[in-house]
Amino acid sequence: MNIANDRSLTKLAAQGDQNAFGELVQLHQSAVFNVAYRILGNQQDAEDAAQEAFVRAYNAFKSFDTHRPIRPWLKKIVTNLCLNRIKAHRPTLSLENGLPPPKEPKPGPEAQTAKRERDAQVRAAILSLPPRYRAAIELRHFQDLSYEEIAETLEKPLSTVKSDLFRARKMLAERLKETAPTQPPPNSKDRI
Amino acid sequence: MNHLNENQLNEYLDQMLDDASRQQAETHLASCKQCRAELADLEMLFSSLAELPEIPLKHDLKAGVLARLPREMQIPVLWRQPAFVMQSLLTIILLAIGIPIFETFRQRIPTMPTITLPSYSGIAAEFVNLLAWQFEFTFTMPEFTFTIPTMPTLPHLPISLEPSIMLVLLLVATTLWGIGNFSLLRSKPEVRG
Ligand SMILES: [Zn+2]
Repeated sequence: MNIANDRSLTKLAAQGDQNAFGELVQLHQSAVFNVAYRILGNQQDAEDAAQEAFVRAYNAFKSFDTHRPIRPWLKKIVTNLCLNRIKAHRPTLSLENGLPPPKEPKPGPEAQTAKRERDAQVRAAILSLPPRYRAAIELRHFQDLSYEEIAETLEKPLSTVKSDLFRARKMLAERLKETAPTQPPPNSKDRI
Repeated sequence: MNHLNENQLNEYLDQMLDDASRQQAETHLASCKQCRAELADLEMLFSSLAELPEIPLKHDLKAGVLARLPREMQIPVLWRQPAFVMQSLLTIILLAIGIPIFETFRQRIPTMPTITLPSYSGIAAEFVNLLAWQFEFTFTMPEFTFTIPTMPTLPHLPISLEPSIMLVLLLVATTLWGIGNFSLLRSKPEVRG
């Protein structure tokens, strides 16, 4: 990614240039979508959330310092948006959750299949966490935020963030141990 | 020796411990199988998360996002719009023609139509009369006059505006108005979908 280009596009978009904003969407849509997919666990919902996040970002440009990189800001917006969604509707896990992402499983070497299975288990384990724990994992492990930055993003005290994160890890590790090594992914219907 | 607690293990892996605490933790880990096992569990989780691949996006979100952006943000700066410039010029020309004409009329007409309203005492007196109406049938309307001055002949304008010049100015104004409106219509943001 060209940082200078990213920055000039950001400045133009902040002034209302929608073509520039369209280019920013193309540059960052995959990253933003993947945040949503990890939190929501469903392609369609994740695409909707990503789209909504971009629209919100555009409308909130006044509050953004255009000297800063835009991707972390976009990820922050989509994270909060997704968290609000899963808090609003009780997390009903869709069938898609426990399974590997569609289209991907091409016949391949066994190691590759095992890795895919493991990834699906990790995704399912993340999705089985309560929203606040899911948020902590997402922000620390996938967005590389410090404890302080997570606290700021979630507007929670540092101590709460730390205990959430550590409990989330413990829970995840236990759930992954349960499903390890080649057991089928947990049946998501159990939790509904 | 005390085992490392959950916080210490996590902060050790997150590299959030200060130097002294980190060294202490490392010393303990070197000699404690149990804590090393717990640390290994966490490390395995860390690498599972780090290895989770991003999945490909199936649809380009750009069109959908752009369609949902507010329209008014597309209108460029006001003074850069031809419509705005044209119509400003038009207004100036119309004012240049209109103000002298208006001023001339105002100065040449000696008296404006006047309406004389009855005085309050007159109204009060008639109101008393009205109360007495049921006894005496005398009622007169207060005096009310409306004077129309004789219209003066059409005055000469203070500036000499030949009819031909007026015509040219009006044509220019009309053209500007037309161009202005045309460009205003054209600069309407297109609907994207
Ligand atoms: Zn120990």
